[in-house]
Amino acid sequence: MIDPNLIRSHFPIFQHHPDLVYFDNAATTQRPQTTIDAVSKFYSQRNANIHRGLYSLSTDATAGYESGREKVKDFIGADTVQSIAFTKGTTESINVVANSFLGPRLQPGDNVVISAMEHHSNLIPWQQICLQKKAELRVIPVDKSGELGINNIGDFLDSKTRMLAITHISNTLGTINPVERIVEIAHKNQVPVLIDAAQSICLHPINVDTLACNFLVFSSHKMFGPFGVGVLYVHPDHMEDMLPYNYGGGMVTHVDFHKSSFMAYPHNLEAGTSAIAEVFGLSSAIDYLNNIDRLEASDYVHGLAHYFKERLAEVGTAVVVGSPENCAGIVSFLLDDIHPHDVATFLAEENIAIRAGHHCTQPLLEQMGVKATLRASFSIYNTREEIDHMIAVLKKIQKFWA
Amino acid sequence: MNDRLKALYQKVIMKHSKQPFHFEKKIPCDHIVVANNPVCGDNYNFYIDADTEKIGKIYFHGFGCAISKASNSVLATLISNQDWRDAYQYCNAFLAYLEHKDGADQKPLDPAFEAFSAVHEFPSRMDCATLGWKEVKKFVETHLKKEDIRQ
Repeated sequence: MIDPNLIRSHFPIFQHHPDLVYFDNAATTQRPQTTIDAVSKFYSQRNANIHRGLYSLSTDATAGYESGREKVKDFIGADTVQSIAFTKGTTESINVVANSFLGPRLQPGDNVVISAMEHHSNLIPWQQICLQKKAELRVIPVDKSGELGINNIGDFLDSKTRMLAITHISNTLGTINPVERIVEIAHKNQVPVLIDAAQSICLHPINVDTLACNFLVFSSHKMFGPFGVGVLYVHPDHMEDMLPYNYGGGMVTHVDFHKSSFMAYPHNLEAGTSAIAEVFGLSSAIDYLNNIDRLEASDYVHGLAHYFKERLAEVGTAVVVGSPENCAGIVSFLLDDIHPHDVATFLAEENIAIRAGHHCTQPLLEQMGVKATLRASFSIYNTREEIDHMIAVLKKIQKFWA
Repeated sequence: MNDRLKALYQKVIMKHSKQPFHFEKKIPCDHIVVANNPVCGDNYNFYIDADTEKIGKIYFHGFGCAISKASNSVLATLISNQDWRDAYQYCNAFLAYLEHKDGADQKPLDPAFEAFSAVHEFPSRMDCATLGWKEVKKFVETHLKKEDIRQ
């Protein structure tokens, strides 16, 4: 059983802000004390640069950093630790795949397929590489309920498709895409698949071995870890195809003035000094997640979203945007014709933190026929009482605006 | 609703946002000035008629919150039919008033500014109130620079 009050006690932000109702988990989660301690402990007890030091502090930092890679590997069920590269986050991971893997093999007339519900970070890197290479970007549409027509996905793929990049969970509508089925369809067409797990990695157990995706990307800060570090998983079949992304120290085997040779993936992507303390923090966040039942946790959070939608029906003409059957703990909605920013300002005065705007999914909102929404996104420290409080405030806002 | 919110969403702003002045796509016109905030998605066009002497009527249309709509409505009310230099002065004065450039107790150039005095207490809403004014100020500035060069 998820005990949100016990979980709350692990997150110091709620001791500093006892009245905070934090419903912006899709933007970033809060961090448990253990994550914060892991970062701080690295700096106070183990701080040194990794990989090149011959003294014990540096070899210890290196070992800790590399054990973080091992922990990520186990967390997502990868076969080998060599598959795991650390990046700045989901956005950088996608840019790396678009430029270091896809770019060199993309020819004029080829195509890349994404869905209409992608975050800008899983749209623009593909759009730009397609523009550069005179390739076509194909977009699988969403229907009114905010779902992809899964049966039509095959229609978008052909012998010229070089990549299918798709989100596991929509950051705006909460739609959970059937990624296993999507990978299967893509692989039947010999198309590699990148899964954007930014919104799912925290509470949805993912196993890359059974999912069989070619690339998986996510950020630490959406899974109770620190900002500034993320993960790129590359299937062993493609590791040799990953070219360097940034050039510099720490990723070379030999350098002279006129040419250089580079280490193999993943080290060829980690030029310069990595976010070392943050990897220690991420590692600790994974420990935290491994200590909870994530299936129970995601059920609990989905239940909160369901409860919120039910209660929202009481608030006059409030409208939920999208109604996917399989929905995560993310709800986009509108309150009458009051602009989302005005509603969010009123909520903020009551210490309720939610997001208003286009959530970096402008084309999706255009398809859904709206310009901006309010978005409530829940996590395991949220409660039904907090939702009741928000509903009461929404009713007050509506009255003020009438 | 607490006093801070009442100060921000006072009656003048609610009235302007519900019944904005000159809120229509007035085409044809001499100039279109775009005010777009990519962060929040606010997007307005100002439809401006103008000759070398003065600005004519200003209309505006688009999408945004109550604060931005009210602020643009006040802009259309105040800047329409101004000569270029007065228009520039109004834009500067409005922005300075909101940003407390001359201190918190400065006198507004026009009483209509006062409706926005509480925006300063909501830093995240400052862009909503100033976006249109900043873009129209740039437009007026460009005209004045051309005039100066000509003279």
